[in-house]
Amino acid sequence: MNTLTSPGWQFLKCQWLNLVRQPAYTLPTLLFPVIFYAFFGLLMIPGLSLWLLCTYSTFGIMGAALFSFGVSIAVERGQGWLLLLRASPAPIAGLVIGKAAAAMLFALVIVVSISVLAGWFGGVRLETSQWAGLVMVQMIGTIPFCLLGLSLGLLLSPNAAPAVINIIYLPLAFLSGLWVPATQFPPFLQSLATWLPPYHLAELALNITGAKTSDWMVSVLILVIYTIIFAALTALGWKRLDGSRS
Amino acid sequence: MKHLMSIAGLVAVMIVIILILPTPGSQSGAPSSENQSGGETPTAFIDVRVFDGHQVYDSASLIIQDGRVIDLGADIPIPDDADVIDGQGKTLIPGLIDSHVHAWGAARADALRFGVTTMLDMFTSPQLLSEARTQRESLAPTEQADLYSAGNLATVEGGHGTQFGLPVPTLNQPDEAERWVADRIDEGSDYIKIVIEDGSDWGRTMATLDAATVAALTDAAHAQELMAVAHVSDLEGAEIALQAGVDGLVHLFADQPIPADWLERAVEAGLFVVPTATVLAGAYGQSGANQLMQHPVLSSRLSTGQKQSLTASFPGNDLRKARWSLVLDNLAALHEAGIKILAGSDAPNPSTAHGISMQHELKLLMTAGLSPIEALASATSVPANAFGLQHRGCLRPGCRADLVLLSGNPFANPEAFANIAGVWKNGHAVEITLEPQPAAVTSPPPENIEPRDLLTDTNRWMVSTDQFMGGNSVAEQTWDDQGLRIRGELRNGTAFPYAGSMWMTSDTPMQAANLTGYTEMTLQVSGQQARYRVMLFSGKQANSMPVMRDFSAEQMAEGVTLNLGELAGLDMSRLRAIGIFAADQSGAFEFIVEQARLDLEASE
Repeated sequence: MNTLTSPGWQFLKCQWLNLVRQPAYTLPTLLFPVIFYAFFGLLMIPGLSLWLLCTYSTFGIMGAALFSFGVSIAVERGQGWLLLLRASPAPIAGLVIGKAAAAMLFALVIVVSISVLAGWFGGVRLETSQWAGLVMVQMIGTIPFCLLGLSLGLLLSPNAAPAVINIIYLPLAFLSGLWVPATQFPPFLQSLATWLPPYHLAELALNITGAKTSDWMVSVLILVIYTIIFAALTALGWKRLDGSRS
Repeated sequence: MKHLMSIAGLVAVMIVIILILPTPGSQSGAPSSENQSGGETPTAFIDVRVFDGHQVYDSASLIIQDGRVIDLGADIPIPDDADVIDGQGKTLIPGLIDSHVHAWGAARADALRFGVTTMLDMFTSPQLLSEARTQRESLAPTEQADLYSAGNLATVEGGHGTQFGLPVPTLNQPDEAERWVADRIDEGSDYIKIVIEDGSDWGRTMATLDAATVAALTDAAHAQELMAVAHVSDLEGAEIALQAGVDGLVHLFADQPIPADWLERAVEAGLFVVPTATVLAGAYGQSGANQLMQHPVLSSRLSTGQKQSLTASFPGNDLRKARWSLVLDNLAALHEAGIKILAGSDAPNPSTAHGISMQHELKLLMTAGLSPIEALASATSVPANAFGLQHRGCLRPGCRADLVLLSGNPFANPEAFANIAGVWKNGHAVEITLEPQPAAVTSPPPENIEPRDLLTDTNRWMVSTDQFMGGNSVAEQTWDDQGLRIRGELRNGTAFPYAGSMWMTSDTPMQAANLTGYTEMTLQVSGQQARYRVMLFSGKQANSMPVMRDFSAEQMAEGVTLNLGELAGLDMSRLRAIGIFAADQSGAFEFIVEQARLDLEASE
């Protein structure tokens, strides 16, 4: 069982233990978007259960990626854990892979939970391939947000990172039309939304479920560009870490 | 190892849940079909006559999937997994576009039952617009027609459009136009509607926008890449609109025959006209309500609300009866000159109703000389073109799967336009869910009923005003030897301010009672108010729309007799209340109900 000894798996296991042993820390990330969807998607804004399924699941995976990744990296950096790891023979890539896998696992649970609400209480009917496609899109969609979280966790001071990520998270979600459809925004906010990465991830989800037809190639392209930008920022943050600043 | 198992277990549980999430077939219990494209099961109409917006295919197949038409042709492959609908002897047409409506309440659901899948609103509350915009972009199943709207209309202070009690942002000067248009864009208007109406054709005098302001509004709209359309009712207004360069008129004008040179210039300018012949028919004493309501197919799709607006009548419509031929002549003249004609109903004005009135409109267009195909194009491809609505009013691949299946061939027999066999919106069949017809009565009808003087039940009369609807009007009542005296003040605050008193049919207010035996109601009222409104509340729900009838002061002073059997939408087996109200004119009022009786046919 080679995988069991691989560092990526070990870190995923750590993350898992963290969830099991300290549910108070991780459960909100899982439950928040689900509760939000139940309130807004099902109870308060009737008739948009399919549309909001797509946007609230994007909201959910964004939180999983930014928090289980960005914030935890920053905290661990503050504790000196990252420096210790760097000094040890443990491959640092294992840490990243382990955390990314955990974020995707969270994404899976979040999207499936919201889908269950949408399917059984919101009257949403999709082909199994569409349900699966929605989950896949959102799991893969965690990558740019993991990198965004990682770069912020590395670039900002460990104390500032959680606050800054929180400040970015909620407005970014709102301005991308994840809570209220962007089509209900005033025109200037609508054009702003089309520049934001969560908007395009939601766009892909809307497309695959048939809630909206749009040019998905454009959305994929923009997400890829953002992924490259965030990866570059991560590399920059990593370099600065090399320069022994903590 | 233990942890690997739990994580793998979690993932497995998630995958199982994904596999059992509800699919489109799960309601009916049908197994969901395999299909490679990952979308919904396609629906194939085979062996059917198809009008694609421009031309007719006598026998073709049309395939829809995921809310769009994916294929159309005489000899195309039918996907193995498609739900097949045999269209032999039937005709598929694009979902209709009603180019002049006022949409609120149940309008969009009402219209959809009659195959109107897109509505172009010409004045409604801008609060409805953002939701409408979201919905019309979506291809998800819906029970409502899609909506585009002008939002607020451009009118002068005190002009047409301000009389409904809704706050309307008015303007008076050309230099206000730019700002006004920018505000509409912020509210989400899709185009700008300009009112040019001095009331002269309706025997009134009204303040109206001047030519310079109309031109400034049109320019401001065009500068923002919005279309500008104009409400006109006479040649003078039409001339102002034409010179301002508006894109279209949203009413036909019929104060005089259209001069040839106006037609020539209108054709050159590419002006389109939404004649709204249906609402003009109502205003000129030619309501088609009875015919429509007796149609076996159409009547089964009518809601109570639709019946009410359809049977309501314009005050004074009889006086204009003689001028009706001019309406048809002008319509024919537009058509012969080659002006683009867009079908529109102006529902829910009196004598019209959402959806069903498009049937009347098509008929009137054909009466004026349009061929069935031309009439249908005026309700599909022509408006889609004029308003730049992509993928609507057509049935070619890529178009929205908004369509209507008709029994018969409307191009040979136009009566078939009314034989609606089914409506599909965003690729899904629209279910007709009307409020259930009253099955059993609530209480047995009173035995040995006798003519009843309602004024003897003094404790059953209760003051009622539009405050119930969010308005501000007030009233109080007293009894004296003349009868029931009601004093109060009508204040703006709701669309139709009213205040008066209601007679409750039971001791518990608004509780239904069975009064089926009564066939007539007689009312006599004296007072200063110019207009009175009688409302009869009945039906299963206490909040269902009342049946309303308006009367002038003279009629009321003489005494009015209502034939209860002829009031569409009235359910005497569940009568809740009868109200008499001052209506229409704001200000203080006072009137006395001198007589209010329910009678049997035999009495007199």
